[in-house]
Amino acid sequence: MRAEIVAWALGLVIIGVLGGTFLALGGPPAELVLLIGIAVLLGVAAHLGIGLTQRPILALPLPLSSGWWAATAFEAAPVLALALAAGVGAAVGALVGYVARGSAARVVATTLLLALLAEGVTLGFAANRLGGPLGAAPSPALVAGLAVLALGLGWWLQGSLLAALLDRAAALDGGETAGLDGPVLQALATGLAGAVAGLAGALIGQTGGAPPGLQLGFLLVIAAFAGGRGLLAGTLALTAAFWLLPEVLARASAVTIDVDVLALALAGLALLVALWTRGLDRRVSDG
Amino acid sequence: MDATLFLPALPALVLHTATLGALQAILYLVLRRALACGWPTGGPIAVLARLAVTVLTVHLVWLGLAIALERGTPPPPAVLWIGPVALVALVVGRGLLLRGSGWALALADPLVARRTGIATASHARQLGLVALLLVLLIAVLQAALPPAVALAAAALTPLVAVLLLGPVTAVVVAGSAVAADGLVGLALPETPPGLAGALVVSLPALLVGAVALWRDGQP
Repeated sequence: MRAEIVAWALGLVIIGVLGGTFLALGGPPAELVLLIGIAVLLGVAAHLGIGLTQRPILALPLPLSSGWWAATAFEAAPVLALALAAGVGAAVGALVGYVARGSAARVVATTLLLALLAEGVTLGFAANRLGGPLGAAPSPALVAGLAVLALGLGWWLQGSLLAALLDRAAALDGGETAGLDGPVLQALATGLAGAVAGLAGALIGQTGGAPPGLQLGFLLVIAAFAGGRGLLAGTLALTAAFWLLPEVLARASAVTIDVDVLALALAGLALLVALWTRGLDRRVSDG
Repeated sequence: MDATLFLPALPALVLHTATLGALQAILYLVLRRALACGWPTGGPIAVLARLAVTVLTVHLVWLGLAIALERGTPPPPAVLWIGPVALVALVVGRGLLLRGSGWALALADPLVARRTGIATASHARQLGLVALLLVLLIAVLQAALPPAVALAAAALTPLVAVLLLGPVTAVVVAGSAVAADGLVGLALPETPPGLAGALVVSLPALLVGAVALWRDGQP
């Protein structure tokens, strides 16, 4: 409980400091709401798909890109586009979760391969659809509402029966002795994660942004694992740091550092700290 | 980029990029073994985290070296032959290593090797040194490639091959994947980097998955 309170406080401090800096550098408040909303959606998706399943699934950009495509393919009302993105994201997420099974190394390899293929396809076909808002831009109230809903879902699922069953299914026997179907449970969790990631992808698409690729998948896995044993608050804190920091630095013209390199260096640092504090060694149940 | 400019040198380029992929796969294999020898205990997530930190560090070193090499004089064409020679030397060296002392056990199961009194930590240091030399070699070899090929040859497909396939298959598949990436990058520069290589790795991965499923179904 103490770790959770510390993680929530840390998350609020990160969002507060980075958000305040963003506004101080002249960033519009509506854009900040959108950025924080997307960070929350990504954090909840990482918590559900990676933290609860205890699987290093690198392919969360796949449902995210699917949501991006679904939301930008038709000229539909924002709410309808978001619903479509969530549905498509859920289907893709469930598929990814079902395919990513076996040892941790195999899960990394399979999902890394899927993410590489998805990034290639997205880079190849999305370039001509970028450069401006592709649909009606979502209102800040809608974004905030979605973020609060996702937070509620993540917080409720953290203590739910599904989380307990997933924890049992992450044991060495895959939950077989308890009569559980591990891959189906995993697909259920990643399906929910995919729906939330699809919403994030739709929001990115509706504001004219490109769908993030493999690097985001890598950062989300680190956020979920280094964030502390599947804690929603820890995952959110790290996701917010990874997502907001490059945006803040992009606004600061005095900073010329390559933000991608910086994000990867930060991710490496987070992993080192997690290794040093033995936070990752506790996950011995992972098969 | 006009691909016909490179036609006379195409066989050498294909060999060079394939060697580069094979060396990258060998580097990841050596790093994986070095980490296993250095830290034989710990859960699979901790093992993967150490590998991720090491791979990140290697990529940052490559980025730094690429910038440094671009500022200096590009390597002469003779560098193209260093890769295949190094590859043969590594294969021969591995064969010789496995013949003597505790290396075979240390490489196969470091935890058991440590329990039987074999100094796996010293093996880890030696493997680390080999990995460092490989990192430098790969950086120099990459600098000798034409920019279109160098951009296309994604560095993550060899890692996927190493994690998904057996050591020998992984080296062969990684070589083919990076060569495919290089060729596609040269002939069709608009193709997203890494896509051809990922497709090449997907085929044996699918095959291995299908065989595993078929074996599971056998009585």
